Amino acid sequence: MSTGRRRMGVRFRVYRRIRTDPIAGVGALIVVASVAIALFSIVDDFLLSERMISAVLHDPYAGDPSNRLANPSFSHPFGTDEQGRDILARVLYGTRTSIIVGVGAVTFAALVGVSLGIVTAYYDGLVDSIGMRAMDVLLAFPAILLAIALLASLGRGFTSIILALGVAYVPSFARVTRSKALSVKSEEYVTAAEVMGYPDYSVLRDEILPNCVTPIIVQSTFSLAVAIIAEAGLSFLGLGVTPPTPTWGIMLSTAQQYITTAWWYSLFPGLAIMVTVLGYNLLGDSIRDVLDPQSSDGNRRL
Amino acid sequence: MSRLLRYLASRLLWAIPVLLGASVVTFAIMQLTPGDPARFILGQRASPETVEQLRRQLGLHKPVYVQYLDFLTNAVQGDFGTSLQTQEPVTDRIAQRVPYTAQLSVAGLLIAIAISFPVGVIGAVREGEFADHASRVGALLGISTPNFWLALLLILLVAVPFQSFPIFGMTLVTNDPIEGVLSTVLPAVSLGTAQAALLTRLLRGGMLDELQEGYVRTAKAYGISTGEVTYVYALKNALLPTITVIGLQLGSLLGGAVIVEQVFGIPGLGRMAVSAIFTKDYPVIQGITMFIAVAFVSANLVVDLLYAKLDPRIDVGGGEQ
Repeated sequence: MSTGRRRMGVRFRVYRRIRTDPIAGVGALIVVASVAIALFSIVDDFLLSERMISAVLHDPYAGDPSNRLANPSFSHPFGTDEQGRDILARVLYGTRTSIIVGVGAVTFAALVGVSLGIVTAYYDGLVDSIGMRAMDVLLAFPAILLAIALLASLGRGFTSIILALGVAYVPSFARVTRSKALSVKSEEYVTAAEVMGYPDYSVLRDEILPNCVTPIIVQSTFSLAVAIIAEAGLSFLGLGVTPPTPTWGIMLSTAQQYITTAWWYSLFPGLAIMVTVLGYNLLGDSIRDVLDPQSSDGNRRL
Repeated sequence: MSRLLRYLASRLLWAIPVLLGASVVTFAIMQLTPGDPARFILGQRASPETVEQLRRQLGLHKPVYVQYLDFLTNAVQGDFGTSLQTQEPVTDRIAQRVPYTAQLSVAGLLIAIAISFPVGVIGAVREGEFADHASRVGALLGISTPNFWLALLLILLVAVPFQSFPIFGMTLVTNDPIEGVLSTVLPAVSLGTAQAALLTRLLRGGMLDELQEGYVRTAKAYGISTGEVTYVYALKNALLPTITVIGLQLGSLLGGAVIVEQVFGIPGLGRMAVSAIFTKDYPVIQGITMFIAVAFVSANLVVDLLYAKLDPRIDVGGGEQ
């Protein structure tokens, strides 16, 4: 089918961009590395009886009372924290929380938002007004405040944060998908499918959805960047996953207490957030330039 | 003028259902809590009598729709009940905190505008040159830096070496202008940087589009200097869409303030919301959530009207844009 060939072409163009444009390449490298580190630490923490990070570096959970808040050194490149734990090992493990929450929240937001966007665009009229008005309601709250309010009733933990952030990002996906679906809807092949008597769900799933993928991918990449910052922010406020699970946000909030004595403690976890988020933003910019040269900044919701 | 009034009416008609929806979301915060909220608030060891008393105080013994109507009727009158923690009216507590959050957010917005306008314009005018590349990299870094980490870096690199910036608390400019400004600078920079980065990208893109427009070439052909065409004609048009975005950014600013207030110990709404979560002070959480939604929606109404007033191309009577 022609849609299939077009998507292969797009994949090739994105791949070529990553190969030839060093900035896009750095972005892709950071994204791949962050996912790899996250997957590795999941395997390392839960499946191996002898943790590899602990063997090569240090145990991210094991404190060393004689070595509290130690300067960065050869043995501890990022220094140690207030319990003498190795900050590098904890930063690596912290990637896991950020990526799980980020991917989870964006997946939830995309599933709900894309469905809403396609349905509201296809059945205009009452469905459209109600759906989009509901999105306006969610947009009336700053994303982080909406997440905080939801966390107040959901309690803490991975699932709660993923849901809270996921709900906050639904409107971005709904809006992006709806505006693309509105233009796809009037294409001839959609009319053809309708005339041939395909049921609505089949028109939505097989004709409209595949042609809305481009802006959804771009939105996902940017939303991931925003979600990683938001997760760290919620953890920083003490509303994220519970300690001792290493997260960048909790590390930074503890680091603040020692800011005058241990600069490395405040520096490295934050640097990890910035580099990771930068990676997703760089990759998102490059994909967007390839796929959608006219559009500007997308739908970022901080 | 009647057109403007019609436009105002249509925007108000948009705002009312949105705010009603926001009140449902706010009301649902307590309803979504698993189990009995009164039991949840008081803990497992509270006596059944105490729990029943709190249930009556919160109105939880009534049917849900009656509870919502009560909540709505009171909220419209600015009454969100009393704080479970301090027993003060929630509205009074919010009123005490608003000036701090307002000072922080306005200062953050000013910083964002002060950085983004020159940087965005220079980036567009010097497209492809070093200044452009530098501004684009800077904007990307700005978007990628969490505000609370920037706050920590500013404390580490500015506040600790130069003792004149306080690292805890905030003074209102109305109480002490000098101390007020000094205590606001670092939090406002932390809050405004990400917004500055977004505005920079937007303004650069807008300027690039405008500079390619026909009227720019025509104006130059008429002998108007490049500088005047760029900084007066094109800039004016490029600024228009930014106004709408600034309205939308108020939401991000208020959200960001929640975290920045925590870092700098500023007694604003955000700090109050976070501590209310830890003490399960639901009326306070509901009051703040609703207050911010109302503030955000009102601000966007004002921005829409301002936009309609500034852009002669917009037919304010003509329905959707």
